[in-house]
Amino acid sequence: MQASSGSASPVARIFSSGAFSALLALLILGLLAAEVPAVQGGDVRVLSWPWVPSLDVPFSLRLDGLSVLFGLLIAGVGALVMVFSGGYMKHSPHRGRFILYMTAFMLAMMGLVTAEHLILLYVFWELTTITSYVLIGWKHQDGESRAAALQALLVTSVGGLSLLAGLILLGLAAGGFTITAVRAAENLPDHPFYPWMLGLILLGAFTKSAQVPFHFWLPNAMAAPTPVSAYLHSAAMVKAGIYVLARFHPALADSQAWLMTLSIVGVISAVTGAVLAIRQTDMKLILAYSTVMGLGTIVLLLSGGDKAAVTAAMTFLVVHALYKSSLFLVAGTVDHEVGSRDVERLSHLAGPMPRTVTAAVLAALSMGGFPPFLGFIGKELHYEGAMALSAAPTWVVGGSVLANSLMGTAALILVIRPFFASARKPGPEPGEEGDWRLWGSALLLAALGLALGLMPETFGDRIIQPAVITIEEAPRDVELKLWHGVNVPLMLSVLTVALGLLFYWRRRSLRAALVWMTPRFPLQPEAGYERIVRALKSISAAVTGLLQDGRLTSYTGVTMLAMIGLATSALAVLGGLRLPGPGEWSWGGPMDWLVLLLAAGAGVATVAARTRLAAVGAVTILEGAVALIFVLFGGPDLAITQITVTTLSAVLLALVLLRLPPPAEKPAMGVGAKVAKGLIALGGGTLVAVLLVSVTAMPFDASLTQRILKLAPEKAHGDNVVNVILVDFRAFDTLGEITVVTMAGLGAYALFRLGRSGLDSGRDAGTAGTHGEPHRQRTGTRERRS
Amino acid sequence: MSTLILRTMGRLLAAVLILFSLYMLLRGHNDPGGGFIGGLICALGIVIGSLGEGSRRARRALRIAPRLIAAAGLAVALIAGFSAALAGKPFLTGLWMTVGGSHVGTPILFDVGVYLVVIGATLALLLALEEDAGRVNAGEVEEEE
Repeated sequence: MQASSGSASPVARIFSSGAFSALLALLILGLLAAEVPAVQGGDVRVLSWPWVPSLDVPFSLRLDGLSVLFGLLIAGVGALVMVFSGGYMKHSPHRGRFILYMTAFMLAMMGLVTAEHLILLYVFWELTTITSYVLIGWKHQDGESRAAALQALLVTSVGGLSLLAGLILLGLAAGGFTITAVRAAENLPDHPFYPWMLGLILLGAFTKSAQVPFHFWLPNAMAAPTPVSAYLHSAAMVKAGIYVLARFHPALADSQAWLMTLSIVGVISAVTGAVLAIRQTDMKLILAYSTVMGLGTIVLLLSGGDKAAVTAAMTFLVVHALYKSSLFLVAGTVDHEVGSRDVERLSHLAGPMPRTVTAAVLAALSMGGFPPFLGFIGKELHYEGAMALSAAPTWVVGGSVLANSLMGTAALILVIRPFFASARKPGPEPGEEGDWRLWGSALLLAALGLALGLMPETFGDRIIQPAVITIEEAPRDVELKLWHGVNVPLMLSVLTVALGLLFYWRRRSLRAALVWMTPRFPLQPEAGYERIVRALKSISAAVTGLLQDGRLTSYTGVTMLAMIGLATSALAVLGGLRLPGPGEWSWGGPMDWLVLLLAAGAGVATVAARTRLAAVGAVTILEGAVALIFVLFGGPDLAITQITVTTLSAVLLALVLLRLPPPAEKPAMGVGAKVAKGLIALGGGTLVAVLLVSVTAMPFDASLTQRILKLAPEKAHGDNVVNVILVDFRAFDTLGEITVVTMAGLGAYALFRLGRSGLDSGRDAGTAGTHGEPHRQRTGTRERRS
Repeated sequence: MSTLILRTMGRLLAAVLILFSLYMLLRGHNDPGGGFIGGLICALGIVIGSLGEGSRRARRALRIAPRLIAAAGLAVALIAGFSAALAGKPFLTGLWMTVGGSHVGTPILFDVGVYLVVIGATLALLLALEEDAGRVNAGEVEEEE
């Protein structure tokens, strides 16, 4: 994996520079762009290949306005983030691996937004969760990174499983597991499954898209390298929940429950995210919380079916992805070149970093919602859409204005503090402009926000309208404009800017108030998460301690008791025990009795033995007697196996005996324990005996035997049916068994090799190696908790 | 552990048992025997030999590490299984042909795989255990507890 080292092949070097992945993203971008004219007219293209035919799950992809919009975002931002990563990870020996994970994520995300089959959608959904886990935990030597990765994985995979259940209910209710079938289904909100599927799907979407109260994983996920934050945790993966909401909007949205849940969760998330963003001084954390705000806004806008709201949601989606990923890349560039992301410590970077600051200013203007940036259009539409929502418009609009003005404040903090103002606290020396890939990708993303803002008609017609048509299921004429005349949204915009400036002016008192307030807030979702995880751990520790106490006798006892309990209760409930009548008993011949006597004697001798060696000898005799029984009843294969296994285990036991402490050190067993163990043993023996007698008393159905006896010579050219079954008829079972046997052998080998001395040297081996993050020491303190 | 009787008889028994195990392996398809039983008998022979001669000599005589024998056996069984694909048949379907009046087929190859896996896994465990016990006896390792 040392792909970036000099000895790597040219192909590996090109791959690890991100060039290959960027080209792949551009290729996808081009293919999707070519589809735009078709989806503009409402066309839907479905491609399907057989995948799991036995479960009737095809690998089917769907291209319509909505998937093209998301696909363009993922591929477009993806291409630039790949280029950025190549520069950002330049000094990491693991750059190739990083690019590989990022590319895998990109493809999974692409699959998610183009999946036609619901199960395929779920599979891609989980693939994005897994790649996100690996990437958040990239700096895996750091315990905080690992904890953040695990937290994101747990929160989003609970949501993922919930989504799976919801999708299955949805498929059942719609009568088909494809998006086409779901769209064709009528009156889903009246279906008895509706409350369940709605709740489950919303839980999935809200956890993935970091809505309150599940938002806490997203700021913690900032432990990932910055390209990951820019791509997965602002532009792409967190939008997966939004995608699912938009995708099933036509089928599910027509209900009071949808409207209320989405508007409440959306407003609360938007305000919470915006407020908490102001509290932070780490650029990445400000951006992370403002992402919660952005996602909350989109959720809010998707709560209704009004054209204005849906248009606003789709526009804001693009706006947010562009400025947010651009600002993340700016934060990454600053971190990479200067060594801090703390806005209190950075100062006057505008001079030494002219290109980065241009990107930052352009992106922040879009974020603050100034004309003529796309962000301005997004904000106007946001207000227009919010006013169109019927549920409590005052609250919705009030919350939106508050959130948007705080966003403006955050944008000002992000640009003015590091680039133009003086530091409040001692910080690192200003660096200089870095690799062209760093500022280049940030600048391009930010410029895109301006370019699209300058040609709103084209953007609206070609990109937004097809998605709106898909969601609304009706021909809609979407018009995006920069200038709408003097109307209520414009007034609200002016108010937003004024409030934003006011908040910026008072930012320090605001931050101090928030720092004082947040730990005193009555609801602390992250503390709740930690309590749940702790409780799960202690429950599993308690159960493990109860069942696995490390004593072989307890294991045998528990196993035996479980067997007795299960078998007797099954017999009690189902019946079916059939003991032979008085005339049906067969008394056997003298040989049988002799073997029986031998076995019984050996059994008694085992229990009575005073030394372990004697007990091993007696058990071996007992097993030999069992082998004799096999011989008497015509099972030579079994008999041979029994004898060889017995011999080998005698050797094994003899060798193990050497390792055991001398018997004198063992405390004598109490009478109570002796009685209990004796009862368990007797119970087990009696049960097996009764079952055997009952089984042999049943009429014997020989049809299978006859069939195998006939087939073995014919089809398998063998007379020994036991062997024919093992290596031919049921060879697949045997393959599984020999795999297990091999694993057991390897396990034993590893245990003995590592058992003593090996463990210590093994421990040291895992800690070496460095991972790719900026090569300079970080000086900024990081606040993590909300 | 090594006594004169064990040393003398161990070597003899090992040779006889290994030969016998091959016989059991090959006759398995028509008479009691087969890869599993054959493998156990072969492992038994080698273990008895090693009890007399010491595990180091047993390992040297084997030439290949037991775990690799097991892995090779698994590979042989898989090859036998996948060879059905050459005839366009499902995984593990037996392919047969007649060589000089007797049937030869992939199930026999599969059985050889089973034979090797059983030998390898059993010896990986027992030889390691034997060496461990040897070290305990020699006082190289402290007793636990």
